[in-house]
Amino acid sequence: MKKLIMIVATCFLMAVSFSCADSFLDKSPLGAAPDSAFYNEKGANALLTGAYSMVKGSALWTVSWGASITNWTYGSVASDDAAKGSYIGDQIPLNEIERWEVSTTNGYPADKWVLNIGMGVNRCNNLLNVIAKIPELTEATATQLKAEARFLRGLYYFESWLVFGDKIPLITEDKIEVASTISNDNAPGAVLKFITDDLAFAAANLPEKQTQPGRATKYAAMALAARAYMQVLDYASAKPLLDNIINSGKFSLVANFFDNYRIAKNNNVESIFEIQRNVNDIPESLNGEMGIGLNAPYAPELSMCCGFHQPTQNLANAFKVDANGLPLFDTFNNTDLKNDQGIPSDDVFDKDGKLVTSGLFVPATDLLDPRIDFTMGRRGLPYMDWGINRGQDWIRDQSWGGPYVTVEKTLYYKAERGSLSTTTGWQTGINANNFRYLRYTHILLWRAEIAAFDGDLNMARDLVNQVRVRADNEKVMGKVSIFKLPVSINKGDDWKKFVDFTQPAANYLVKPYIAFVDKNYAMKAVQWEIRLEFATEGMRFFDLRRWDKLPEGMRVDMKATLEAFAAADLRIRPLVMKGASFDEKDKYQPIPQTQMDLQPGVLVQNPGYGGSN
Amino acid sequence: MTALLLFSCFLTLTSFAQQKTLLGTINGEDGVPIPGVTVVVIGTTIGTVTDMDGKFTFLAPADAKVISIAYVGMKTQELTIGNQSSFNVTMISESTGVDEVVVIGYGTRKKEEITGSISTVSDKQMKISTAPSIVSRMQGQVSGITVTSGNTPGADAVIRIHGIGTINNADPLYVIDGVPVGPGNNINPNDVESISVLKDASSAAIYGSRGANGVVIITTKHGRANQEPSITLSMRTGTSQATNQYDMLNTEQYGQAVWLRAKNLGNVPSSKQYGSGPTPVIPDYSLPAGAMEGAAAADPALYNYPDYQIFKANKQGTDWFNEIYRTGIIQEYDLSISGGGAKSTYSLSGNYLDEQGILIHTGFKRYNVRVNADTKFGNWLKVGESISASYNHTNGDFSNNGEGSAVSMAYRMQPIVPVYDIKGNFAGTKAPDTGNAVNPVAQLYHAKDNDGKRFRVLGNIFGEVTLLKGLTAKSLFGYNFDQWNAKNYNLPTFENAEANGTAGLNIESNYSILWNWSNTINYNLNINNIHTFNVVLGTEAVKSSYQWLTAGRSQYFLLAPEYMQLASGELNKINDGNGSSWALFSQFGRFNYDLMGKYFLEGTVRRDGSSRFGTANRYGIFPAASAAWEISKEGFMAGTSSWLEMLKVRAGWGRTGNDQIGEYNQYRTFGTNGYTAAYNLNGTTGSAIAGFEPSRRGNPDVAWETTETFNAGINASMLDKKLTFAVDAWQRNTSDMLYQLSIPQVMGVATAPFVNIGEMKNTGIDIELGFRNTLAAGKFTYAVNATWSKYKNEIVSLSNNLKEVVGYSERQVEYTRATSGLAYPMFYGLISDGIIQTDAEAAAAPQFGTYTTVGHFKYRDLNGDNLITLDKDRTFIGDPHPDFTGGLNIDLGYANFDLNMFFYGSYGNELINYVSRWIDYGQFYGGLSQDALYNSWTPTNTSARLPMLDGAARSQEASTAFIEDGSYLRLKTMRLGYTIPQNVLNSINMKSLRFYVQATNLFTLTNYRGLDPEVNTLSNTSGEGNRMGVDKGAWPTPRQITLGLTIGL
Repeated sequence: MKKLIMIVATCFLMAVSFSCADSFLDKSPLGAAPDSAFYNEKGANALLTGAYSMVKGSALWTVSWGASITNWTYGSVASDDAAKGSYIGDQIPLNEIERWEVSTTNGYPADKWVLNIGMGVNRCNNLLNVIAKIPELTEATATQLKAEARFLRGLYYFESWLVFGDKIPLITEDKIEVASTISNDNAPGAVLKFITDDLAFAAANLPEKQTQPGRATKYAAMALAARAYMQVLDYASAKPLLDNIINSGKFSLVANFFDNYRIAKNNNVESIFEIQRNVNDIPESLNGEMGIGLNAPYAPELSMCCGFHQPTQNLANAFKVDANGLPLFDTFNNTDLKNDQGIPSDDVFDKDGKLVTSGLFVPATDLLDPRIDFTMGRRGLPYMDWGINRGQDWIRDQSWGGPYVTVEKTLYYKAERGSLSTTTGWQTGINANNFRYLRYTHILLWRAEIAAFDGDLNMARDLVNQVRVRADNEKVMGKVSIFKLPVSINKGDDWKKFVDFTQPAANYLVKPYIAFVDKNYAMKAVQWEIRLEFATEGMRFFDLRRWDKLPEGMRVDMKATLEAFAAADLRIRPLVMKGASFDEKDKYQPIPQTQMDLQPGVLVQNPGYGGSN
Repeated sequence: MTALLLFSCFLTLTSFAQQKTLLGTINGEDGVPIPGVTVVVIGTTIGTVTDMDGKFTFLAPADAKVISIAYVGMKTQELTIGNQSSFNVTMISESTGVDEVVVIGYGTRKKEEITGSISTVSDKQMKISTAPSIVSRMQGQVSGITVTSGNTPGADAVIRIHGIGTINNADPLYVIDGVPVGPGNNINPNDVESISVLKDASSAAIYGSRGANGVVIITTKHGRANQEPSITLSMRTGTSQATNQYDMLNTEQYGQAVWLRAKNLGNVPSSKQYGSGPTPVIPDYSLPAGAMEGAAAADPALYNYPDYQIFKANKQGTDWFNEIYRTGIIQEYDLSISGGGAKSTYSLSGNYLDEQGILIHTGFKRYNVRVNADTKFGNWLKVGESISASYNHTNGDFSNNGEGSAVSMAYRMQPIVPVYDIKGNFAGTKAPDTGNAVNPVAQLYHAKDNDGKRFRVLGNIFGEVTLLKGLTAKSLFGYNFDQWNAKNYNLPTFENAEANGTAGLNIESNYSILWNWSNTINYNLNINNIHTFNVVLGTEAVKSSYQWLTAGRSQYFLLAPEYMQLASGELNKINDGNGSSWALFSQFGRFNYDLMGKYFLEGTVRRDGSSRFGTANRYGIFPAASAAWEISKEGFMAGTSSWLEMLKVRAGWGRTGNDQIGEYNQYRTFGTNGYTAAYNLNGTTGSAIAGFEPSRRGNPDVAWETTETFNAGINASMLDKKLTFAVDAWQRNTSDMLYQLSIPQVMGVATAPFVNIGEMKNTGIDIELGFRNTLAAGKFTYAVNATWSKYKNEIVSLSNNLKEVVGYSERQVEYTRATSGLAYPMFYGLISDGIIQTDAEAAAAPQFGTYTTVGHFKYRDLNGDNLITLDKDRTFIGDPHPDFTGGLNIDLGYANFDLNMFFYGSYGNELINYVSRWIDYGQFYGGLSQDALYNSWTPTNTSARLPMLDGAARSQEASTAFIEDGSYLRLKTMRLGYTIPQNVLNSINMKSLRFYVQATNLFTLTNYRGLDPEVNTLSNTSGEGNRMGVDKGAWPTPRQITLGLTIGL
């Protein structure tokens, strides 16, 4: 009997375990939503925020430094504005970019590609498809969502186009599932048309002002379209857009040049489209902009990393002015502004107390455009409120990066440390300083460029002078009276004892132009102003590229300019640019080899990088 | 029923026949009496079991001719009775013997009946190594497996069975006492009774879906029926030390290297530390840099931590390895008790292990208890359980094989930097021109309170019913509960160049629960001792769920570990968490047929359903078949029977599967992400708005990865079973290999789905050879057991795109690549044709930008354009896979002494010495090797190994210059033991007493320049197999010397 019970029970157990199968094996994903959850207004807005997210120019470790929207790599390090900095063995792929010898396997352009085309464009297209599938959206809402999506798509394509040129696949929302079959071998002008079509739709449908400052407006779309036209010198198309923005009366210059780089002045009257940054909401604040995370000064007192993106001697020289407060167009780089290359921060003695190397350095007394010391850290001057720049000790490897400390435009004040900068992680330079992607000064100077080209010399002069007059409003203050800089100097507020804050830090002079004698002179003055005003902001390389196409007289020979920079730079850094030459192919970065390999027969390589596959 | 009745009648009847008394003592090879040995008259069921003193006595029929003496794990002996009535027998342990019972999937089988490729590890073999991980101890004990372990305290190991079967998770399935979970490092190896490694598909297919990478079945110790209680107490204690370090420059030499480098670059030598004179000058202080005694800046009155630290220069040079190494103390105590009555058995144990690491402030502690018991009700029901609970505690910095580990920091530090500043705070790279490393002593010290605690309960309960003669049904419910809690402090490091000024705390907590319920019916039928059938049918359900939480804070008012809690942190209040779960449901069957003990056939089939696949492809069917022929039992072999006891040939074929692709692959989902989908639309400075992004593409069509295996083998035993031999040749073809196909980025970026697209092939040969003998009338015994394994791995294809590659990079340089037609992975890079000696040679060499000059590498131009370009001139330059690996065990015994030596070696594998990029090439300005100064190219040292010391980035491209031969031969362990003679023990009423002294890693023969050729570069994370062979600065294998004592009561 017992046995019978057991047999029955066993059979029962077997039967139970055979029959429990189907629902037992259904496991829904945790913490993720199916795409069907997004077909409503809330969902569309959530996806829109996700689409905006890529304008930060970073996406944790999916991309790293090569994707930064500041283009400090391709726009600045690849130009005469800045050096890679840091030292030779760090971020080896950047050496290739600095020396114009990029391999198709270089990971930096690959970052730019994936962030803008892989993530940015795809998210916009995805959103456009979702918007079309939400019946309950009002037309106005749908149109605004669409306009923001198309603005962003235009922006992501613009960023890709700057770096890769015309060889980028143009994917519309209806092609999202077959994107991998779309060739990047475009007809001339097709990319520009695609971008400006998107931006025109955005301009026509976006409001003049948004309640949230991070969102694109009508004027942002116009300004970006104007920049796109400026890239191909299509002045005729850019002009009405720029005039429209100027005449709108919505924008004006902020009082001081450096207000464009102060966290306290984020989203001001000069801003047209700012890349919003914030810190301390997530570990390491890498949604701030990790793309510039390497670019804080490498000074022992500052505890930041990693000394990349150091301004060049050439840029320092460009800030020299004559007695009239005007630039030295032709002679600026013949001699170097006095610098502390090779000079220790403090005296060096040998064992017997005998002086081996003097640490004495008296900063240059030349007349300089005041913007220089908001752009680059020079030895012997106050470096924002961080202390006195101690020169060599503040630079990771002076022989590799040169004498100038990493740009200040992306930094924060010491007083803001912790509250406006990240408190975790090693990239402690990450901060809440917005990047003014499009600002009113861009509009004024582009309009001035067109006026110069058109021969409207007075207009060109007046626009340039607006910028120069503003540049005179604020100077770096604080004359330093000590010329050897022991490490102790910056202990606490000790350094302030050696600084006379009633005096400017150097001899500054910037004056408006009295007159532009001719078109060529006008163009030169505009170009110079663009360089100085936006120095190290990732535009220089692309500006040289477009000015290379201007008619003789106005033309800037890109190859000659860059190679002259490289040759003269050997005076300071004998190793870095040795033997570097700039070729036509180097005007555009290569299409990433990994993507070429994944889309054989679809993608073609940029000319000069060796074949289509 | 009838049969049972008849059987018991027979028993009763025979007891009335004429009888004689047989008695004796049965000892092991070590002279210790063995309780529980079965002594039986051949052809009858008359017999007994030895008592706790190894003694037996029973009444045998007068006509009894032969008695058989059998014990699990020992060679069964048959003795002719003749006129003898007293027997003193020495049992010989038999790890490769023919009568061993082998645990196989859902059952056991006698070794001679095995048709597949199965190796076993006995409890004795488990004790050869003292590694805390069971898997580590398997190294070299069986053929056909590759085992590598980390050297952190308590480290676990990675095992690969028969090559690398997949680019996905290639771990085998572990089954511990019927529960499908891995041992990790928290199961007590002393609890192991046996391990079976099912290497081929015909053995593993009973586990179907998850047998593709082999199966490791671990059985823990049980008591034996009629066994007197036995108590064993073992203790061991010893030391653990690193034996190797990089040969670094001292302070003076480092200065010379700085000068040499500047000279090579054409610069005027200058250093903030060594001045800028004609020769480097060692300063008195490294911070303030270069200061001499008496300098105003070095006035101790200025000292103000952390803003103004003062470091004295270490003029001799800090030996950073010496500073972080220490002698670790190891202690282990183990108590086990087992016994059994006629109906019930029990076994319980407790274990405590305390292992200090070879680096300061690191350690591992483990506490285990285990209780196994079973009992019979009547003769039809058996119930039992097994439960083990363990608690692990790790403390310290365990980072390993990475440039941020303490070992790496030790070679990244310059010698001039002292460990401490003038006031006893830590010094570091805050001293200018000393690189950017982290003081490793500080790193280890700061992590001293980091701890990880793991609590685990693993066990099962089962019931087994005998329904009819030969027919049993078993139901087993197994469970595994795992809870992990970790606390990591991030303390300020003001002394470093890249200082962290804010204190932080991170907490992790996660748990997993797994249960399985298996029901099996087992039927045995024997017809006239000619046909023997065994059938197993069963079902099994497995469910696992996992949940994790992390939280962190930063900025602490006090830095005491007691103060630093989540609640007391002021900023960055972060938390995160998620979970996952999976389930598996299976039906399976196995059929065995044994004809006359000569011909064996086996067939299995398993049908598995996994939650990891969509409904359409959820189920996979995995069949297997195998056969064996024991040739030696054939009549025509009679001529060889005098020396060849057993010769068996085996062959098998089977299909197994793999679903190791993580959960939820079939779903297309969107997710939010603070880093990649959020944006600060509001323009505030402190927070972003959450956004959504495609997170997973989803592929509902994905199905099982299938591995098809062919295996053929021979087993032989000869010369009175003194010589045993097993060889297996095998091939594994993995098809429909699950591969996360690279999706062109223009399609969007989201977790790519796995698709069934790749193919992988492994072929190999395994050999196990054993010889044992005694000399001097049994006083001297010796045994040699060798294992030898060779495999060849090939990715037949990764995808339809022949250019599909999976690469592995470190610091922006790609070192390995995997692609169709080659092994997974291979080293990838440029070919260096030596160092350019003259300008003419430089001019003639393929140009690599401006790099191609005298003193630099001449790289080979592969595409004939006379230029070196990274996209066209890199190729496959090395192979991390060994040509073969082997283990050799030597056991010697003389009287009461025993000596064991275990050698292990690997031949023909290559390693990428990534550390070389730091210390030979000076990637950053950290520590440099002796070679960097004395064996780098200069105009007067033209035959140097290294190019000119100038930090050139192009010298550091992955190239043949970084590939080194990783072959080695190592004496892994050597142990000398002494067993106190029985007559001495009897007087103190002790069963056994044994002392031993053991040393590990006494010597290593290798040409590898790194710290340790046995670097654990395998990873058990799916998709990370491509970093195999890249040595990034791992903890070296320690040398341990231990003294041990085992007491039996």
